[in-house]
Amino acid sequence: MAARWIAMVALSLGVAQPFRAASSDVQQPFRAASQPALVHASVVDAQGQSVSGLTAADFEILLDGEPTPVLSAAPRSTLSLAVVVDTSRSARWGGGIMPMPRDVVLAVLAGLRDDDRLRFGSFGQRVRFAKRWEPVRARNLRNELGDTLSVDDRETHGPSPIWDVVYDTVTMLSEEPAPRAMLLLTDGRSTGNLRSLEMASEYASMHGVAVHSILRNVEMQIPQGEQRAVAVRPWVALDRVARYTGGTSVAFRIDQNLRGFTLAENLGRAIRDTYALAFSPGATGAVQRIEVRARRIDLNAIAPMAFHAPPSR
Amino acid sequence: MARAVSALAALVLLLLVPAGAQQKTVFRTGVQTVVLHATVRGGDGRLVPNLTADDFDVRDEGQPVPISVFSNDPQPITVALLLDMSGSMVGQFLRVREATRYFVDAIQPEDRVRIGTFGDEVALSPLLTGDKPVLRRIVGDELWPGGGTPLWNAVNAAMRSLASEPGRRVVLALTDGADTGGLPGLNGNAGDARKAVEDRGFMVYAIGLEGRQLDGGIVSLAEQSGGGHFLLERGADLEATFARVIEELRHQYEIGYLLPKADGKLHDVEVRVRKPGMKARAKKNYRAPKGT
Repeated sequence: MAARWIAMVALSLGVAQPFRAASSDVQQPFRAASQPALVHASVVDAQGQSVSGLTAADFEILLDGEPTPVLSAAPRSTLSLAVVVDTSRSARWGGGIMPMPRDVVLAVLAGLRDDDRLRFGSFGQRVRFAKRWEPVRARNLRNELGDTLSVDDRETHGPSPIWDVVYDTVTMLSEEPAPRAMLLLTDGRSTGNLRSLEMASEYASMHGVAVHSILRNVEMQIPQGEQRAVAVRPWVALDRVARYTGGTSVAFRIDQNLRGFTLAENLGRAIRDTYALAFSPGATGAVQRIEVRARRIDLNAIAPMAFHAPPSR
Repeated sequence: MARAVSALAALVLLLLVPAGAQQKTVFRTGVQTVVLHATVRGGDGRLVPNLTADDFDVRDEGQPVPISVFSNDPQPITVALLLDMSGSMVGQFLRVREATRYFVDAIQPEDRVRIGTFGDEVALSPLLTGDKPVLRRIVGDELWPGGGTPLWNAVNAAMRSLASEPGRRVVLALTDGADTGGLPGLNGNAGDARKAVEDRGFMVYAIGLEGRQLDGGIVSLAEQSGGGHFLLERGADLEATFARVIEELRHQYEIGYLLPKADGKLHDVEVRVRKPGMKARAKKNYRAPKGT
């Protein structure tokens, strides 16, 4: 799987696409940018707690392995966040879809800023979004989330095409102003996809969408005769998507509800405290490998792994 | 079958004799053609690939019918491969996955495969393709063990997913047991699958693992459809069984004859080989279109 991830990064190096906003799949010429570009990063300490109040001097950025100056570090602007819940049978949380995902989502939302925007969605065989965006502090949020999670049985017992859902959600988000993110609640058992994990990840990266996920962890070790066993780890793929796109993936067992809520609250605060880091993208290529680091060794910066240069005008 | 008939009615096939060694017969076919796919094995159990139309005796409702379409060319395969992921299969997970990879490696560029699983969910890939990297990706990323055995939900879903495809359409199910009941909201029982075989000519294969009895319904469906069924003992070579199915599908004879009567009724069909020691297997009945 490590090899596959390397392959995916390699794939990203061969694709020229805009970093921001544009939803077109048309390849655009790369601009040797002299204007600053932005990369979004959150920072957590060893306990997973979000760290705010850092400055540009607290970060370093490497492009294709070469250090580049961090010009500024500022709080991000208003976030467009899609919250998408897997309602398939395999993803049932504690025997029923409700109320666990709703409460977990609300725990994440509690950490967000008042001006952040939100759109709910759910998926079984396909993703469906609520009709409109809502501010995070909207009064009817709980009801609207409940409505989104009401699905019929045909949806719950068919395939769960998580990568297609990521792709479709990114398409929806690409029409919204940056920064953009999606939060996926799922068991990670992805089936029936038109697109691969790599395609969905690259597409999210191209449109600057951080893919966060909260997983019901159903990791299993299954004996395969006397000599072998297979480890079933549905969270691994989503963890890779998160790492590639600058998101965070957390997994907890269904008997660890309290831990789950803590992780969800931490995730919400990390999204809230995301920094917008300005840097000069240079002219080495349309898609570059980017690495954002916190200079303090006790802190961990979470940021995308690929930078897509803006198109020339 | 109605599809096959109408497709052939629209096209009017003209088959030509190639210059190569493989024997082939020239026929023109007309408006209403019944198409069968027959597997022929010799007394030693091996496939017999080079028969001619004259070697076959085809009967519809007990009456001999002249063969108007015949091909012994290798046939491309269009198949939905259904993998049982139910709880009782979890100990076979790696074996099934490895054998499915072998199946993918064994197909030819002109073949098309749709991979599906059944267990907690019935999950069919939307991709019907011969693209091996894509199929390998599905095998590697989209098999998840657990759940019951909604066999008939899965078989019917697979048939629906192939309904618009031309030519011979095959559903191959790998399972370790009987249906444990349908999933809420999903359609399709054994009767629906039987009707689909009669009306639309699907071919069904079933492979049972670990010596457990296959669902009796799918055994009879496979026989009715001209497909086949295999019951593997513990530790038996699943890859060899997949290879056998692929080989069989590749070398089935395509046999067609003019529809004797457009009565909308179920017609019994029998295919025999005139040469001693050889046995043909083909579908046992079909529903004729009505009133055309």
